Amino acid sequence: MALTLRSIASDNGDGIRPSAVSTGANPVLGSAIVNAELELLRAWRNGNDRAGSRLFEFHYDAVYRFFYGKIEDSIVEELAQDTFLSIVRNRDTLDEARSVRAYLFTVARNKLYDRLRHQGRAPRSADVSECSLQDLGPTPTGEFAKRQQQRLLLQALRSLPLNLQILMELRHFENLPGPELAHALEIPEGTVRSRLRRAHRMLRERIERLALSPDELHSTLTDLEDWAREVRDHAEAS
Amino acid sequence: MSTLPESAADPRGRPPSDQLGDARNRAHRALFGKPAPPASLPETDDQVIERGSMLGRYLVIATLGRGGMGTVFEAYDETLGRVIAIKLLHTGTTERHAQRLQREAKALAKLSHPNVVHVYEVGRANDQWYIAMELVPGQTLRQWQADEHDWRACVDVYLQAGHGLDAAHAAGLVHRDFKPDNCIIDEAGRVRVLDFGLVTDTVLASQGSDSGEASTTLDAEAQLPVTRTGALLGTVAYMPPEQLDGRPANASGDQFSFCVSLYEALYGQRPFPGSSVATLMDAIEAGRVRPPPADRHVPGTLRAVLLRGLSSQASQRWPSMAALLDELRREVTPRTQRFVAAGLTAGLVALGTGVAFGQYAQVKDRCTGARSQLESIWDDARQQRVHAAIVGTEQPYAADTWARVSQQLDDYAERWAARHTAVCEATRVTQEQTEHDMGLRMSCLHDRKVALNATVDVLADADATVVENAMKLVAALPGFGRCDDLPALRAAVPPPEDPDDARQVEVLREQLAKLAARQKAGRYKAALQAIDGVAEQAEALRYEPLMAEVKSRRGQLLDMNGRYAEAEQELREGYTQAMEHRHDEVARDTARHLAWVVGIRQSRHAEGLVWGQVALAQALRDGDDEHPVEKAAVLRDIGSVLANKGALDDALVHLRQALALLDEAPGEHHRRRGTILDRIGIALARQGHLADALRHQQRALALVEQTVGPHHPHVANLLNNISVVLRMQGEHDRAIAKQMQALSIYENAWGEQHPLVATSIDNVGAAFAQQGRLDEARRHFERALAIREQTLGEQHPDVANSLNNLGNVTSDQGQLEVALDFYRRSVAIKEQALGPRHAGLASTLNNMAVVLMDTGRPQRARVQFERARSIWEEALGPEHPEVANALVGLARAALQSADFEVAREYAQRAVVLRESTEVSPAELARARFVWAQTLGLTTAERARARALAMQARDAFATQGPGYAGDVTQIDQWLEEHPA
Repeated sequence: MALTLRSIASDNGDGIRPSAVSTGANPVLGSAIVNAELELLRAWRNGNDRAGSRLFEFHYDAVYRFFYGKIEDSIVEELAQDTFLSIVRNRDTLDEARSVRAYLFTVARNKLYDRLRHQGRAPRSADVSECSLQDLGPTPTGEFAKRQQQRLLLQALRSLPLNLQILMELRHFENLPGPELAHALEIPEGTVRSRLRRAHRMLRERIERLALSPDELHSTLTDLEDWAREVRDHAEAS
Repeated sequence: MSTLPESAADPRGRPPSDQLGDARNRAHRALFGKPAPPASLPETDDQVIERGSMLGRYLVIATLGRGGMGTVFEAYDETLGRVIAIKLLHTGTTERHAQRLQREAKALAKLSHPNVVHVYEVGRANDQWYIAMELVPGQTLRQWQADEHDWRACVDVYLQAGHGLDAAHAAGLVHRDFKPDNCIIDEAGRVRVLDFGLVTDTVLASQGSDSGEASTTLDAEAQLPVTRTGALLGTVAYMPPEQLDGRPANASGDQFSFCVSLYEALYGQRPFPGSSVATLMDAIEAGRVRPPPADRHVPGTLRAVLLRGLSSQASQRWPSMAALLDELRREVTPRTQRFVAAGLTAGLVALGTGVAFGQYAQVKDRCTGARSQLESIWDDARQQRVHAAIVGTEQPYAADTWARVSQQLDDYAERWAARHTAVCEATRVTQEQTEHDMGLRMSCLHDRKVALNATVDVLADADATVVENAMKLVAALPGFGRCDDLPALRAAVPPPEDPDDARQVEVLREQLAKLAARQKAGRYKAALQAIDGVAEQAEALRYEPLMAEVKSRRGQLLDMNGRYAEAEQELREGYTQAMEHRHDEVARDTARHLAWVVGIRQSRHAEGLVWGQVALAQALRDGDDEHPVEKAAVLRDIGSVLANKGALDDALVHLRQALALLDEAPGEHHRRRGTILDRIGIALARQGHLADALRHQQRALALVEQTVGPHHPHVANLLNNISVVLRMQGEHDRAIAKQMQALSIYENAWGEQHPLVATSIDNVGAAFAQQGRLDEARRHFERALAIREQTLGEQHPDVANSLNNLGNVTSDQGQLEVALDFYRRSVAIKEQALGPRHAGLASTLNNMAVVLMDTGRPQRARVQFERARSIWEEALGPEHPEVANALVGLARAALQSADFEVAREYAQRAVVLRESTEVSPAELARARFVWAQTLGLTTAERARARALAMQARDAFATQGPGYAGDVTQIDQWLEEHPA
């Protein structure tokens, strides 16, 4: 196989034309994003265990939450710990271009799928990621929201294919931005966007189906974003 | 905040927090051998906070500074993924103060103004209040004014700070502690005010009774006094008397502090003498302002404006910050602004016909109409339209672009008006130039006005493409230096003698200027279609200088549309006509474009270089004020042609020279520098110096990102090239990550149907392919192909590249006949579009030959390999790493035909070539394994062969699943060839 794929992409269409005279530097925030995680990761590699411990603290709760409600309570802790074990083992070879968080969610997702497959809850031939937790039942013992509106949303969420449920959770509960979602789920960013749209659409349909009254439907849908914000605020307050 | 009662279950069915906490501790112990430390470090009074500790949800990265109010840290906001600044207030902060802080911060957080540091949040962690805000790299105005600046610069800078204050006042906020230390100026010259409302009246009031502290001697630098708990906060030297007196400060107090600060910047000393609060108060109340130092030149009118703001009675100051700012603005733009009201005189017609000399005063009035000439070109209404258009595109960087573009256009308009007035007065008032010369210079200015108008036209109708190119467009406005260069103007091509024709030429030039603006804005197709009409009219006029201009423009547009041969023809004709009529600028630009179209687009490198030299000679002759920048542009283009030719060392010399020129040129030129650094990086990468290449590209990225922001397509171009080099290094994951980043920028900017989106998708595909993720790769290549066929037409060379890539990936998928078909289509297009000796053709021939080998047709393969080799050697030189591709192929083909001697020679040359440059490990491994296979039967050779094969095997093994087949193949060979 001789690859001579087109290597250097051409300049901006008009390559050689003079480009603009600059107006000087602009400290756009974000352009200088030092990935704090990366700092920690490097320090950890250099033997600073506290840095490792910080990384752990950064993310442990989110990983725990990830498993919680998707699988029996009794093994949530084990899976969360396993997930972190993999970062401990691989800390020296982790790809610096991806965020640690994205890496953790990738691992967590794989562990979840493996476990669900292993438990025989999914038919061998089926793609676990395309099954919903509802299909995979039985319902784990996660404590459900008391408020009907939230219950509806949760129920609807759980009826989505698992990969979409995870996508929605990482986006709305954990606030992962697009590129990180792409990394965590190992799909292109464009796909992230299209799947998010699909997930929103499906969620809406499910809620419509589950809602008992038009009022309830309305209040549940008004709206997902508010609800996601509420979830976050609640998490921050607690 | 949450609307849920505390007892409500988590809306998401979250785990109970104690359950989670226990689990966290157990996991931490399992992983780190001890329980997790408490979530945040306990805080100490002296604010020693370690890097890596948490403040609320922020991760502390570094300490930036300590001040009277508290300590400032650089921190990372994990939730939003951005770096911010955090000011941690001293522990002594009272509850009441804190409450007000919080109230004000909420108001501030809603205030988004370019001249106010954005406050994100006020929060509390470990009993200490903190303020999270925008991190602005730069210096404080105190540091800035430590260097001497002329009075205009000082006023300009403080006008910005004043706008910040004014905006805050409008939102009902008072700063209470304005001083040069509380303003930051960034590298672009933008000023932001920070630390609003940190000082409390209450604290100050108590200071009055605290006589020990109140009489604190003002330190010579006036940075102090600062403050321990209960003592004086803020800096008394800048405080209005009412605040010193312990009364609440208001907006008018900010005005006073502002005036003290600006006064200090202008005169190098503060207005009121006084070494203690008491003496200072005295001086203020008595209005005892120091006399201006003799060495500072500040207009008396400006001084008067400031003194009013420094009145001890608030009622005697300017009625508002806005009123003060108006006055200040008038000071820095006297002629234009001040006379606008009176400037109803129509202004001079461009080609000034004789006007009788009148009295001085009248004549002076005649020279004041410059500004009004710009009405309907760049006035409020037009600004609003451009603003609406740019912001309306909803591009992520649109607001930023608007700010920069409007600033540049304002500047340009100001400079134009100033030049216009000066040129007018030189004849009419000071009588130092003839009417004829004035006519020439006015005509030159007229051209600039036309260019400005055309630019604003395009911007007022901006779409995403235009916004992307807006900065380029504005920067391309012609400079004013030429309008002062009388010898050049006198030598310039005269307009047609017939006045009707002359008018017609003007009209057509205006249309050309609009087309040029469209071209720069990326609207290639539309511009090309529109130019035909202009060409027809120009032809009818039989005025050849204009024809040259039309041809030059049309040639450039043909190039943009991928019609290279036609472009060359048009540019050549344009060049000849321009030279014939001594139309120098046009000749120079045309030559430079010929260098590109001939040398790069059509790969006739030597010829392209000659055109480059011609352009260079003309740039050197030119007396334009953009001279070094122009020259750098020509050198950069010559460097690019050389790089394409494979003369990489020479290319680097030229590129570095271009860079050095820009370093010396006035102005920043970040983007231009970024482009050149990127080109240097590409050349280095082709030389195999991948690490060095990457360093240059990272620098390029930083520069460009700094200039255009992180979401601009120009940034994506650089990310794209970085990704390519990462891929060459075998860093597939990182390559894909960068490429995805680039792709999402492109898609955001242009949607999916854009040639550069296709390039980016293509490169994502390439990275997938090298990782062995073939289905994904193929999907990407197919998408790229579809976009290219759609946007560029089916015969465009880029379409051929997509086909080539599809050939590669289908052959990897084992669909060899399909692959051959893709290659044949690709070759046909390339032969047609690029000619039979183009280096771009060789790669596809080589790929096709590889597949021919695999389908058991070594003889036919050999022919194609040989063709590829000869093209590469001719185009790139025999030492070029690309040549090794063909050599490996030839070696394999010879092996197949049991032609061992020949095979060995080819293989050995390939290995030597690849060892001498930094190529990807897989490529070197491939050459080594082929060499191993050619080695003979003696024990020594056999051992060497096995060693080479094992080396190759190990290299493949580290390259990821894409090379599993290679590993298996070598393992098998090793088994068949035991030691």
